[in-house]
Parts: sequence; C-alpha cells; structure tokens
Amino acid sequence: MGHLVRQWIPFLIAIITALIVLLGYVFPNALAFTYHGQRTPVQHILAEWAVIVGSFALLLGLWNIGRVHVKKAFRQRKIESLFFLFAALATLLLWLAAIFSPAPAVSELAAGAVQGVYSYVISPIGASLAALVVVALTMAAFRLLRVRRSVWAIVFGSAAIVTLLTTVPLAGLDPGLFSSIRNWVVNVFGMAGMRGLLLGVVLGTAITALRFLWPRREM
Amino acid sequence: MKLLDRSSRVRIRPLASFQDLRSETGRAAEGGGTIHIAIGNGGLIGENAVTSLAALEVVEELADTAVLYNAPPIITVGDPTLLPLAQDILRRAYERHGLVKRYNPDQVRFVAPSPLAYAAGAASIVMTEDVMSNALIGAFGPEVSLITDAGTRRALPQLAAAAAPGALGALYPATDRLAAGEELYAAGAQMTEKRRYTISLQAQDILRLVLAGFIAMIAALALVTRLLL
Repeated sequence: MGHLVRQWIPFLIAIITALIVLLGYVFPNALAFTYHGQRTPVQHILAEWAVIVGSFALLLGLWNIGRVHVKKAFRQRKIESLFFLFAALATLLLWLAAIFSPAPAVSELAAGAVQGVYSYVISPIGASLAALVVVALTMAAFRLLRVRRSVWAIVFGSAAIVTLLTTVPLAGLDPGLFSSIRNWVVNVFGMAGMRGLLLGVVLGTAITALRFLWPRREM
Repeated sequence: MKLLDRSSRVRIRPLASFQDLRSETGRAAEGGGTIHIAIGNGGLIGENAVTSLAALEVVEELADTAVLYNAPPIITVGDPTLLPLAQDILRRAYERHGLVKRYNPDQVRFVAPSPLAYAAGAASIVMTEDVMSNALIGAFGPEVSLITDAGTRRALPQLAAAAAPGALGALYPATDRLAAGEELYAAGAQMTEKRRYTISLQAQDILRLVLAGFIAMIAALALVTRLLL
C-alpha cells in the first residue's frame, strides 16, 4: 500500500494532469469550464493553481531569508545582515502604512517613500550590478587568456574580440565590411553552435522529465 | 556520451564537473569548511523546471557524502519553489543516517527572486562564509559571472554545469570543469552509475543519433533537390 501511495499515485497525478493540459491545448473549447464567472480553458485553471502554490513557496522563501539574516545578525554579529533586516523592516512598514493608513496624507507620504525606495535605491543598485557583470566577464576573459593558454581559449578570446570590434562604430572604416564579418561570425559559427547545443538540451530535458515522471525503483 | 565496451557494460565519458564533486566535498570537510552549491534561478513553474530538477539530482547524490563528512553544503536557490525541495533532500539524507537532529534547514537559502540580486547574494556568501569549493549547477544567465568572480578572488576550486548559452559563455572562462548543455542532464549517471540514469542516458544518445541522421538526410535531400531542379 505504501509503495502504491509513494510511487504510483504521484506518477498518475502527474501523467493525468499533463494529459489534461495537453488536451486543453488541442481542444480548447471542449475542455473549458466556468471559473470565476467566465469560461476558462482547463490549462489556465491549472496554471493558476500552480501560481497559488508558488506564492506560498515565496512566503516560505521570505521566511527563510529573514531567519538566516536574524541568525547572522544576532549570533554572528554581522553588520550587513542587521542593515538588511533594518531596510526590509522599514520598507515593510512604509508599504503597510501606504496601504492601511486611515489618514490620506500619511498614506500618500508612505506611498511616495516606497516609490522612492524603488526609484532611488533598488533600480540604481540593479543597474550597477548589471554593469558589474560586464566588468566580471571582461576580467574573466583576460584571466582565461593568462591562465589557460589552450587553442580553445584563443578561439574564445578571438571570437569575443572580433565580435566586439566589428560591433562598435570605427571612424574612417567601412561599416558594411565589419558588419558582414560580424554577421558571418555570429550567424554561421555562433548560430550553428547554439543550435547544436539547444538540440542536446531539448533531448536531455525530455529524457530527464520522463525519468522524473516514471516511478522510482532503485536499479 | 557513452560507449559500449567489450563486456557490454555502459562506459560513461568522465565529466570532471560532476566526478570531482564528492572529492571536493571531502576536501572542504577536511579543511573545516563546506561546499557552496548554487542551483540558479530556474523554478518548478517555467521553462527551466527540468534543468532545476537535474541540478537537484546532483544535490541528492551529494547529500549523503556531505552528511557522512559532517560538512553539509550551503545550497543557494534563486526561486522559492526550489527551497522546500532542496531542504527535503538534505533532511532525508540526515534521516537516512539517523542524524536528523543535526539537520539545519538554513543550509538551504533562498537568496533573491531576480537573477542579478541572486548572483550578488550568492557571491556574497562565497566571499564571506567558510566556503572551500564553489559548484554552480542549474539555470543561470550571464550574471553567474558575479558568483564565479567571487570564487576566483578567493582562489576556490570551481565546478559548473549549465544549459543556457548565455551562462556557458560566462562560465567557460571561469572554470575548466564545465559541463555544457546536455551534459548537465548526465549528472546522475556520472555520480552514481545507477541503471535508471545510465539507461536514460543511452536513450538520449540513441535519440540524438536518430535526430542527427534525420537532419543530415533532410539537408542532403534539399541539396539534391536544388541540384536537380
């Protein structure tokens, strides 16, 4: 009985749900139900249920972040965790004030402050992180040429340099020639490699998904 | 990926990114530290679901070793749906060894839901905690270079497996122990050589051959048609 519950029931639920979703795409009208007062395809209903489960997972994730930083702040005396907790708490309080405050002036002020946090703190930090990614990538490429002097490292570096140089506008040089070199490198070599990679990934994904769906027996 | 030797046993082409994981865990334990495993931003809802599940397979196969060495890995996730799964894998490994009291759910950490914030948070963990090896296995984008940069700065051994071309471009210069594309899905077979993994790997190989043959046939047919008409 335990074997049945642990192995076959999840398998059947997964297979039946997958079949219903698949049939929902093939027969959208036949497999539509009245949901929240309007006719909705079955796959959309199931997707909404999945989103609800996902949002509970997000709450669990936020609890996990809070727990880890509370431990770090109070047991390991890490100042950055204390700062994180303070910032999170302040933003939460502002957000609550913006929504639930009975006084319109307070609510408006708090909403402005929450907007300010997004505009003047979170967005600039995001932009600087994106810039940092470029710096990290460039440093990694230089380090590669210094540490691993193999043929493939040289090919990697050359492809990056050629693509970069033929992308930027260079004064006095024929842009058409550079553009055609870049297109050739990206669309012939790059695209061929990418397609080969993606074909392998698609096969790997399909086989791994089947392995997960199939009831487990240690072999 | 696999070749059949004379005794018809399946032989798997070794991939350092997975085969060295156990020894890296042991090395980290001997050094009094631990291994950091970044699973990335793919969740269970979305296109990266299977990639994330393949990454969790690695955690599953590594969990027993980590528990035996008493060096549980720090696992970072960038999607909340992976958090309970990774925690459950670690808890079950402790249960199997009768050490459930030692299980600490905070070894698995949800860092942030956005890719850049996740990479920055995971990089901070690599820089500031007792991490002695850095493993990046799962769904990433180019921002993964922030995590590898942190690992390089601390001169940590780094192992990686990713499927997305953007992530591969960022990971290739950072480590020579990189499993690219479909190799990510061979993790279970690489680490355990259990039949369920090797059989699926064989099926993958056969399908790839069929697909490649089909593509070559269509290309030849198109060429012949063009020459004749």
